[in-house]
Amino acid sequence: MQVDRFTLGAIAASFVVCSLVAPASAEVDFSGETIEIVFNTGPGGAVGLSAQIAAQHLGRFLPGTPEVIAVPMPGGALLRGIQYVYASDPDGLTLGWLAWGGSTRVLDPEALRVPFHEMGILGGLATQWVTHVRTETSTGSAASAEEFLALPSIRSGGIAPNVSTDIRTAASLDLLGIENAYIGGHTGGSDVLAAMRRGEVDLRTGTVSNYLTTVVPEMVETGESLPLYYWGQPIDGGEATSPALEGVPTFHDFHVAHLGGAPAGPAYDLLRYLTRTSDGLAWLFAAPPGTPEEILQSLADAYAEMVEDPDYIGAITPVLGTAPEPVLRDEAIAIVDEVRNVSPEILETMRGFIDRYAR
Amino acid sequence: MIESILAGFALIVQWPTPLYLVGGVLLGIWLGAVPGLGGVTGLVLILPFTFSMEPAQAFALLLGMFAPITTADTLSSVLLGTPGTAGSQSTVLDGYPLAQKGHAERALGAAYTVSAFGGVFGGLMLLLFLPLAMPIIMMLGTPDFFLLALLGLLMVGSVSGASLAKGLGAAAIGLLLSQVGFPVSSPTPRYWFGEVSLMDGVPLVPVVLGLFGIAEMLRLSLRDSSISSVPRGQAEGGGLLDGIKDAFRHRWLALRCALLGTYIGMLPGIGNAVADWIAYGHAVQSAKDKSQFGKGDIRGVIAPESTNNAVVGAALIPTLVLGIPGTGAMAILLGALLIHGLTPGRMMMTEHLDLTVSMIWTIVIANLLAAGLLMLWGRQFARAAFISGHLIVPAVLIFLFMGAWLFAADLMSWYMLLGFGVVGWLMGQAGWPRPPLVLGFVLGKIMEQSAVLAIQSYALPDFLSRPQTLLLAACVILFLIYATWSALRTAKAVSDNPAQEGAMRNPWLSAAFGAAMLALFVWALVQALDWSLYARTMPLIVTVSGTCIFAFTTVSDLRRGVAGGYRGPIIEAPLRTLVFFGLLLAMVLSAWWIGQMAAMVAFVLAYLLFVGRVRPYWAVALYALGTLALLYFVYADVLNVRFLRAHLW
Repeated sequence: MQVDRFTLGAIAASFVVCSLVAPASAEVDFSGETIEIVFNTGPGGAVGLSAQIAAQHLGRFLPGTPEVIAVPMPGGALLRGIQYVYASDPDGLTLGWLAWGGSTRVLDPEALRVPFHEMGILGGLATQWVTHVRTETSTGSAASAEEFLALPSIRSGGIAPNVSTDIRTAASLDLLGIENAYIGGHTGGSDVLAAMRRGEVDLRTGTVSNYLTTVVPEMVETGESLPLYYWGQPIDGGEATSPALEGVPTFHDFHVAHLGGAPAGPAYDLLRYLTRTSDGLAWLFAAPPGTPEEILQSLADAYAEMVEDPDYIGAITPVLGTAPEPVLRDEAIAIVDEVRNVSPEILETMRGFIDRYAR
Repeated sequence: MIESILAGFALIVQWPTPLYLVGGVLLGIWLGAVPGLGGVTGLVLILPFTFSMEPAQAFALLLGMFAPITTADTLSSVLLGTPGTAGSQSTVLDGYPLAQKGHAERALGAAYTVSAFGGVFGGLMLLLFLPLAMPIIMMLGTPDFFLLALLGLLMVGSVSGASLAKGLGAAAIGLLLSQVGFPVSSPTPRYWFGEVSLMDGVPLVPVVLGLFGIAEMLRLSLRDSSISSVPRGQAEGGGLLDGIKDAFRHRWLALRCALLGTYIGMLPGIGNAVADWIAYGHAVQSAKDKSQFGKGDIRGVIAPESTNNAVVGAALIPTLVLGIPGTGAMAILLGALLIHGLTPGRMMMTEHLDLTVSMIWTIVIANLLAAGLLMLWGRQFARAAFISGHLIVPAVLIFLFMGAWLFAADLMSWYMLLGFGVVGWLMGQAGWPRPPLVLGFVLGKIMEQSAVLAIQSYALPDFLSRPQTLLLAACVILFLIYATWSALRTAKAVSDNPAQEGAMRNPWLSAAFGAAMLALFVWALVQALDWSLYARTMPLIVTVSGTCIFAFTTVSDLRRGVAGGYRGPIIEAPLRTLVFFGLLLAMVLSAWWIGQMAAMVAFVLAYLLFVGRVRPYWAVALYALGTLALLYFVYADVLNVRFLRAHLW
């Protein structure tokens, strides 16, 4: 019997398809397994605590109700944990809860870049940052937004010039026309807060959790500090407001209210990009590249169920200071893609800010 | 206030809180006693279990575990010459020589007494200072942190042994090591060789465990004897009671050091590792007779042990009052507060005052309980100083390597541990003191960060208008003059002890070490020239100073070599040393191929059979099985350590 090349090809292809489909249809079952959620910061911070809380709850939503543990892997400017997850076996037993910092990592040297898009993206959490200022600054009083805007310069405290929040603080002050006397080199958010309370810095940007749990009762209510604005998620014609931050305007609204027009230009484009990609997906929940789709889907589904669970929400809310803002799989994939396809103009503006404040 | 104190106590005695407290203390004793584990490991381990507890129960467990760690870590420092945690580094300097003299029990007795005192004192200070903490903490800013760290660095003279120049050289090595990784306020890492593990700097754990732990285990192995060179029956005046009497005799030193620990503990970002050295330096500087420091002076144990326990309570002050955690452990405790819906700040002194006071009770009770238990068990622990060193060495080495692995689970941490072990051994052979290296390493980062932040935050007139800064600057200048004079006297007094840190050794080997460092510092200097202003300033200061110091020591050693007079060998027991390091290297290299657990068990077997020549064989097999059980059940199962699996099959 003559068999033509097309038929042979079709048979071969059907074998390949069958062999690919066969495992995909296999049922995922984690019975008796231990899943590790690796987080890439030291224990104790919001990343570590949220990973530990996720570890406590995720197993209930996975087939086979496996044990889930959270494992810290700090170091390498957050890269050690990321690289560890990236290189782990794609069996669904090692996952990452990662402060990924993808939005600024695009400027890293080629050797240090991580192809996040190759990973099995499962979801994540969004967050927000609030900028507040001392009411008594080194250059004058800032008891109101008007007084703040009249200041010739302000000492903003930060960690390093290539950190997303420090770049956005610089961009925001540029847009508001205030000279930024940047004081970088603090070891973390708490360190900047301590410096602010000692009067060594005048302005800082902290997480919504830190703002609501510490800054409001200790500094805002006592008149020591004035909340200015937060960077809301970019939407058409402005920034989305957050119910948790009622009474504090978005940067867009602050700009409109006090400067009489909407912010625009390269600095604002950068600010929107960083807010969308850094805050819109602050912590990335991901599996190693090559993880089979059915495992990814099972994990993503479990995550989606978990973030709706009242017990999980009840546990994580005190840590975040507000209800969690979950990011589900498709949205997380979209954000990772946005970072991958960021425009050269935005990169150039970002590089400009980093160079300006690097010392 | 009395009501709150009683209400806090009521929270602690309410069942099942006492159970958690006692459980925490027992866990804390274990975590402190095993080198490389420590408080952060414990907090990470138990934090998830506390999520569903009542807050008082949760903090009884967390603080009950955390508070006694700096008491239990004395065991490792005294008996093994290896700091149990970063807070007991300087305890090694006199604690281990005391154990070698057969006075381990005495050292432990004194340490536990002052640890309990320091812990209770720190707890009471927490109670006293809670309402006043804010102005006290805020009084000192970044310029003062710099001066405080500089003051700590001046203690280098106290821990330099026979040669101040070599002490300064060792401190320069430590300072240079502290420059690895991201500089302050610059996005480009320094001296990192493209290695991701070095981007955040060289970690403290492998440095300390390598320099002291590996080197001391080699020394013990080569001695073919027990830790104590004096038989148990002949160690007169070395009992627990003698140690307790010592503690009471030096009560004012203990009190001063507890006060020191309290204040340093309150300052965010300074921590136990610094307080420990400053306390040791204070003990040396304030002593009339300094000749026994480094040889086994009980005051060298009392000072740091009183301090490091006081730090724990005091460190809670900024965490509870300001929501500012000064250390990694405090960050975890802050997280625990948040998880339980508690807001740090004024609420902890008003609405939740009873809970805050319950934490103080926990610290006080945990310190007393731990000290009491350790006293009870002290005699049994101290027996370790009299058993064959070959039975101790492999077990301790496993703990050291697991400590490094626990800190950073990649082979780089093992390479670093082994590398610093070789450096520690080499420094000992060449007569270079190791403590100044650790001192420089611990303080270097703090000095650089606070200096850079101070320069950015303050103008020159600001510095001159701060009385606290001027006072500290005056202290630094006065102390510099005193320390130089004192160190020269101490150097003369201690140069007769060959076992001491920095004792005179073979001048040719010392010269070779100095020359190697000279080359390293010149290279580091050249590297730094192209960096940005803030990134290069500290490395330039360190490398230029280091280059001058190493040029001086190399020439001095060469002249000493040419003059002759030293009769000892270049290296003691070179073949056995080679075998020791060879076995460790084989373990590290084979871990990737045959799996980590198998490599470690193989090392233990090889050591016991070929180095220790331990017999009978069944005892060796039992020892190896015990090691495997420890790795599997404790590290893998309880501590959730991820071991490297075999890649050969």
